[in-house]
Amino acid sequence: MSNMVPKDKAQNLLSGIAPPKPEHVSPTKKSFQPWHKPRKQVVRNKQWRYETEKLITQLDLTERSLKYLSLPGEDMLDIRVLARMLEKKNVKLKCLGFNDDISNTREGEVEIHISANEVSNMIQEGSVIKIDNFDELNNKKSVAFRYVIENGPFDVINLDFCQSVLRPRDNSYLRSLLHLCEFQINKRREPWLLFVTTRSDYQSVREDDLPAFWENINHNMVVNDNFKFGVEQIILGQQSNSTPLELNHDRVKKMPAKQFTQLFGIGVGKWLIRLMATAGSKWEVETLASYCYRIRQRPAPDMLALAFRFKPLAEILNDPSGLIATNAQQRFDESRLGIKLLAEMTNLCDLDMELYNNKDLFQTMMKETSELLTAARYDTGNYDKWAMKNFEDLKRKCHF
Amino acid sequence: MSKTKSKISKFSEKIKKASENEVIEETLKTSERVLKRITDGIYRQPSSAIRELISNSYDADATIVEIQTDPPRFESILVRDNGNGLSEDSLSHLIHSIGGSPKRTASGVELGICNPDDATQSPGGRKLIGKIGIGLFSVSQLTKEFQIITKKKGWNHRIVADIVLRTNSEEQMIDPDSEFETGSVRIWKVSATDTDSHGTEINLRNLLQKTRDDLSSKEMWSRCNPGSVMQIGGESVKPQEPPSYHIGCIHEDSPQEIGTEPKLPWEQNDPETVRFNKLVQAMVDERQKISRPSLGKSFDYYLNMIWTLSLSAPLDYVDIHPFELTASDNIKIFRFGNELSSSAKEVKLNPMQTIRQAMDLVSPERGGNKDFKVMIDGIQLFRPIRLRDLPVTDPNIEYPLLFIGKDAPDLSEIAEEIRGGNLEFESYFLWNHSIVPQEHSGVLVRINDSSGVLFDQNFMNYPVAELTRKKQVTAEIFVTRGLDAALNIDRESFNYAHPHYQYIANWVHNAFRQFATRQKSLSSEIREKKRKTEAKQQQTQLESIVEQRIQTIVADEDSIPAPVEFVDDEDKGIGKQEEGVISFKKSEVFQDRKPPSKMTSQERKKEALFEAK
Repeated sequence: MSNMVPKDKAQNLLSGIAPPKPEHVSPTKKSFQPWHKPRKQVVRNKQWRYETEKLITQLDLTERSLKYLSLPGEDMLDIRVLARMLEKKNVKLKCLGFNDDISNTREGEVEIHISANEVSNMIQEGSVIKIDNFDELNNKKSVAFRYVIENGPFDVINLDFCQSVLRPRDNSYLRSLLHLCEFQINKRREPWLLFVTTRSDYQSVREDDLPAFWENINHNMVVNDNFKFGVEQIILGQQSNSTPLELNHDRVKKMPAKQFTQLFGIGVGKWLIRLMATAGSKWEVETLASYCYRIRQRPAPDMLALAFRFKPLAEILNDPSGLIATNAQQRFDESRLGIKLLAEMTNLCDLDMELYNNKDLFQTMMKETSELLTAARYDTGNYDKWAMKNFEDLKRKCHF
Repeated sequence: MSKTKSKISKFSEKIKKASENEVIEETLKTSERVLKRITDGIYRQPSSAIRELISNSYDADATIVEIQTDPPRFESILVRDNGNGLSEDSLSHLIHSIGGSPKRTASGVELGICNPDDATQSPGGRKLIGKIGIGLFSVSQLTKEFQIITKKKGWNHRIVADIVLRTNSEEQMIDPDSEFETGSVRIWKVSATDTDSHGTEINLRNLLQKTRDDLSSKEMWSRCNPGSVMQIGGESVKPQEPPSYHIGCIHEDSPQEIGTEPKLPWEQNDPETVRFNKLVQAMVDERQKISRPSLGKSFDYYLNMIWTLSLSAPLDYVDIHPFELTASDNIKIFRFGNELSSSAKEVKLNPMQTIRQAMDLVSPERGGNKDFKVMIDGIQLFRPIRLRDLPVTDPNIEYPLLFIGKDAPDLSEIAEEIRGGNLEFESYFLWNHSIVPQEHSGVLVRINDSSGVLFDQNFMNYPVAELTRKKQVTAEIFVTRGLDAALNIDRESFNYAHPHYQYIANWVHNAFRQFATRQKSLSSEIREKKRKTEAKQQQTQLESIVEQRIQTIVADEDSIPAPVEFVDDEDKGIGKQEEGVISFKKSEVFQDRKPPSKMTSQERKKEALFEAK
């Protein structure tokens, strides 16, 4: 009989011994990215910072920090902006950060570590910035979700995606968001904010998902005339009649890009509202001022910055025996929330146009962005030139 | 200037002059002799390396150290502090002198890592506890790649040092004293606008599998796996139960997924300051399940590790410092003498007076800024030693006994060249019938309030057996001067031959003897007192029975009491009553006594006396 060790056994004996070959990392040459354009600073200021500032007046933060979950990226610009605002109010920011499915290079990780080191003085110790991707949260048994459980619930959730929340590949972002919402409403009874930045062009939605996505809007149009009117006449610019205009694949494919973007925003908002309608204890989802802008240099915007405030509704008891007469009514009004959503999507602020029409605002945002980028270790000597050039290119291609 | 010093100085200048993002590379070299001593061999546990990093942060005057270990996955470890940061000179020194710590030397003062007035202190006046050159490279047992990000106050840049270590190879050795390449470093600077901030961060990436296995208690979980069937000595052994508390584990087949949920003694929304207290309480409460709770049985490796780290580091106690106890804390206090013939004397405290005040004690004498917070994965650490609200289990002594001592011996009779300087220390020994956890039985020696050696359960080889008493005592020795040189390089053991160690060992033995004598005599006193009290109670009861019986027979209270006899059977009793004698059946009054078959003469006399009475 042979005494030779079978080959697979020999491999098993080696397993776990040799670590990956250790390699050095090198510094990255940092170059400006699309989210460094001045328009994004409007979102940081007027949406993220402004709404958070309003929220903290409704929370008791005397003995705790503001808990914040986001996708901070290498630069952590969102954290810098919020931490500075909160510092003036003697409130600390406690962060949990994930990745947004960017390829995790070792150099990228180093940049994250350096940025995390920079912001560590501004935020609560115990803040965690993970390399895990956000879509790991689609599995509630994941280590990433464990971090959510350990660090939540959150006062502000900021999902600044580079791509669509209805990611073409799968629905892992949406499922992750569902799990997050579920976790939030189970663990807290105070209001909280959700920011979702998402691509909103036709290419960023999987065809298979469209029918289900539009169903949320179709349903509201059937049950609420005002909503139907708003979608048909205001958004789609079509005559409204008694039969709701059904959104389907063929119709939306031919839709102008701007309308698609607005409907996409309504779709996301309706999805959230309907989600909350299924919860035992009710939460209102109020749509806040939202923005759109262009990633591709085309006439219509294709990126949405949405904002929602979740507010718990008080429980109201009814006496089923009739001993005590009550006239308590169900306060969760899906239609009313739908109308508010519709109004915000109708009045979406086109940031590119806004900056085109307001030179002072453009200059201010450019200056603020430059300061932020300097703090994030960018050489901003040419930033203004880069920002102006990008803007001029956009103006030209979009025929402003 | 020596060759090494010149090399260090040149490299330091190179870093200073480098522009942003300009990469400077250097090979790490050391002699094989030093390397063998300090990198690949001396630290046995991942916790040792983390302990050394905490010490470095402390020595850098940090007030906060934050550690993230990514449990239960352990893919990477981060240690971040807000200490002084490393200068270019210190970094260069570190890279070129692995194992050669400049702390406590003139070089240390030059490098700004020691106080200019006292090289044994940090710039902020803290008594130094670590050795930076060693501590940093202890991480080589955890990983082969790590990064340092450091900044000093006033700087407009951060320095990033990316370090890759090599594993030793015997084949490359020619001369043990020749320099050996231990790895390489890449250094670059990045700009910083937060000029006031300062500190050092170490990121360990690609942890070695062994490290991850240790931290995640892999072996323990494999024994708990219901699917595992082990054969030991030809017999199948059932899977074992997991410990009472643990951080769970990742899924065997899916490393990004939780396999077993954690079981922790705190709630998810408990603040960081409360969690460790609950861990300590959980250990105490284990007494309801196990007679002698132990860290090893109740916790997994991770919880064990944070307990050990909290014992080692110079932290505040989870309750109060032993020397802050007062008379109202229900504890009996004694003072040790320092002579061989001494006996422990009881100390009575005035109301509101602390032990510290009564006995003029100074520990912990850390010096400098006493604020030092260590956070691991959202848990703030405290020293897990409580001397109040201890479980009472002894039937005789119902309160703990605390023995306090201090000494600053005159070592002048030892020749100066071998004396090792002066020695001063303070100590307490706590006796309680149950010490929880059992690993806290023994004596723990702290130098500048820090310890890597932990509890010595043999009390430095105390020669008398005293097996039971040793398990019932927990003691700490706070060395405020000396002994540092007796600590071996791993900081986990002592050089037993050092005069300071030998003196302290002698002192401990003398102290233990005093404690044992006192405790025995106290125990005996209490037993005797109890016996007398019981006897008196029995007599009173007896008299009461007699009086009641008399009253049933004799109507007039003032009449002379009749004689009393104890009889064996009722008939005799009736007869006695007719004679005016009050009789009691023996079996109704006395416990059934069957005298032993074989009695000594003394016992026979006793027996006869009993019968007569």
